[in-house]
Amino acid sequence: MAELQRSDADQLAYDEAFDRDGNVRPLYAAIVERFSNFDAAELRRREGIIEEEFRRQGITFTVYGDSQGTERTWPMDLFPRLIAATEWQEIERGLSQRVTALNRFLADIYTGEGAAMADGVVPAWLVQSSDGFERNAFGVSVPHDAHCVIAGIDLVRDAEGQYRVLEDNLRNPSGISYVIENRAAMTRAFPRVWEDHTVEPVGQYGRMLRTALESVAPTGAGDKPLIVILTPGIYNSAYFEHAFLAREMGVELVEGPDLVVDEHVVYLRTIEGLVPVDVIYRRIDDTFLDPVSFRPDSTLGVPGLLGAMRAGTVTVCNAVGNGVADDKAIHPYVTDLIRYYLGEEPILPNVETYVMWEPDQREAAFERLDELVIKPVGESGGYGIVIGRNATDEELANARAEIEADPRNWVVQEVVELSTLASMCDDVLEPRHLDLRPFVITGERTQVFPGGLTRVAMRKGSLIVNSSQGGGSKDTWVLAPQGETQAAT
Amino acid sequence: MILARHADSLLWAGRYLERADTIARCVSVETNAVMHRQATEARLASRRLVQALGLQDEFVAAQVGTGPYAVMDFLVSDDSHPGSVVSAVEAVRENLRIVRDRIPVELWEEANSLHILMQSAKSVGAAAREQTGGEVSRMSVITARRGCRSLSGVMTESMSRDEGYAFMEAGRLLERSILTVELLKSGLGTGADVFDGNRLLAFTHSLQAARRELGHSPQWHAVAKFLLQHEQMPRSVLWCLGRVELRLEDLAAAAGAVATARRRAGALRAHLEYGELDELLGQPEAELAYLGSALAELAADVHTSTVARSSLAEVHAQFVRPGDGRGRPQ
Repeated sequence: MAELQRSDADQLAYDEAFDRDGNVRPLYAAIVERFSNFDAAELRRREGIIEEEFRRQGITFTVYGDSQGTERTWPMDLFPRLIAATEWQEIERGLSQRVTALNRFLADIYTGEGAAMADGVVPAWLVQSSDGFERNAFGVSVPHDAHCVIAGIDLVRDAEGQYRVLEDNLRNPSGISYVIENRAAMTRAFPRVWEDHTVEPVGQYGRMLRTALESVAPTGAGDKPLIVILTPGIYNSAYFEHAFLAREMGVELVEGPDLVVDEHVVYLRTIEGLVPVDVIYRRIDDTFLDPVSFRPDSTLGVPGLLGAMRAGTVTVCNAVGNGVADDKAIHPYVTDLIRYYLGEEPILPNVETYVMWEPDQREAAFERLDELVIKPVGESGGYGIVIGRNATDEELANARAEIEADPRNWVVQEVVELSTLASMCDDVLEPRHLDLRPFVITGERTQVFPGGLTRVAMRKGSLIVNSSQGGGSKDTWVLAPQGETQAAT
Repeated sequence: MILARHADSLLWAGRYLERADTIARCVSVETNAVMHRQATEARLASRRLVQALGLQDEFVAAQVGTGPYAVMDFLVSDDSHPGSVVSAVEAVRENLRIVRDRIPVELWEEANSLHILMQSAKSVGAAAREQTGGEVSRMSVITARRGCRSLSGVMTESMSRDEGYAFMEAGRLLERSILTVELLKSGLGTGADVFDGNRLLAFTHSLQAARRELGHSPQWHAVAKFLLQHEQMPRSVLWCLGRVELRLEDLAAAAGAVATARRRAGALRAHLEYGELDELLGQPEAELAYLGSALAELAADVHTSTVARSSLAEVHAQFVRPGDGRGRPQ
């Protein structure tokens, strides 16, 4: 029998499966019972099935600068993460509310009157100084104001088990393909675990996304708009996902040079000649989109694309300039934006964040930097983060000097003791920290995809879950309402 | 509808698939022969095979060792040149990876699995492979042949007969025709390294079928007629050209650019179908040289037809500045 380690008694973090007294939570009773019947060798065998399956199918991601070759097999941990139906309903409402407000905010900035800035909800200078703020996006309206069609919102659970928003990803959030492949792998490796649970399916993503993309097509596009996915190519870290989504939606996967703009219309270069394109789900960053308007050295983009967007002949998703709303410096204001645009109390709280350009907050943070997390605003993927309690005095002093030199570029957050869950480490299932990235799709309306990508830090005590830094993932089950009762009894 | 770039990838995936299959088959035939021959004689024959496959320069550059299995290793596991089985399999995989979203999942998975298996043999290293008495490369050949068979099986059984299929199939058949002509060349002449009729038939996977028609010791002339002109044999150049023509017809409705390729394929097919081959083969070198270059030009034409018809006039406006949009043309 495999040893299923309880969380340490002195652990501060919330454990998903065990309460503080070491008793299994009812939600996890059946799955813990099942896993207790497998010995370590059996778990290793099943891990092998998953690994082999991912390798054969070429389910990989790329780590840049990695000496082991460019493609790495996707890491998935065996022990699934479970979310109860009632808990999920709350998350779903919270995410839907948040993304709705963020889309309103983007419309307000780019095609509206800038009301939130005028009314002092967010400082105008902060918006305008954001790297993601894009003057080229002014006046480019998007059907249904769906500036962000695909959002990935990173959630963490604090020591009390409360879900909090760590980050919003409104530009090119990736990971959805792994959610679906994780489920397929789990099904192959553990065909019987489903007997105890009724789990929300995840196979419908392609249809859901396609419907949303169709709904944002320009008015002249007709009932069958031509949709393409624009990828930087096979060497991009998320190429597997781009190909996966094209297959699931049944649309063409194109690269910049496959598209050409003539008289403000985007065309696809096919063997038949040029065919007009209606919707581009692009997976390349703003600055590479169009060498005429952005980086002139970009070979990934399409010259004249912005002109076509502006002319309204094509919709580009996610819209240009979304980076302003997921700027880490804007994050602390999102809860106020929800109150402002929707007149509702935010359902999901933020991780407590301090802004360094407010002298009071900065001084208070400096008093206890060694207890806080320091994040550069412009980085992603877990790079550049200083975790106060693990940092040396010198590192803290450096961070402080950098903050003083450019306060706009830093935020400081309370440490969240990310919740933990049993994960396979050296033949033992040990608690490891995790987060959750659910995906929110907006077309005519906003929908939350059930579950999302659970990322797990495989090193003991580590809080960095990014796959580019050795993080793993878990199949994530949202239990259907009847499943919950079944699991609880 | 198919992207020009995707059409190109599928064309090349087809060509490399045929190449991997043919080289693996030739090596497997040669290996059986090597075991029953003197080392020098065997090496000489292997060199002739290298030449037939058009890898002479690569062979010199690779400084292949003198061991009995070195030539086989060069043809199978050496990825320093594009003509080996391992390189061809990698090219199949890379090209299919580009079109991964539009081909059957199984086709991609077969190509990926084969690539992974071939890479593991490659990682053993040339010296270690030689020490095993060619065992590693021999196993790779078996793996590659089986892999190529399942790839063509999936291709035939689960690919929609759309433009993508037409390009991939045309690529395979063109490559097959080109290699058949090159292999036939290596049966001409009088040296000790000249391949006999049976060997040529084995290289082209036609030995069994030809034995029923030509007997056990066919002469080069009969073999050449069989491999060039046979109407039912899927390895014969005539048969391949007939199929290429059909695929180009499939494409004609979509891509006007295949017109040149269609004309050339038709002319070449007529040359083989109605030409006096006995007379033409009176000067075999000249006839094979003609066929070789005509097939190469046909392949180039098919490749050209994947380039989208978007003339400069159509793309002239791509550098216009935004702001004066007139909307979608009717």
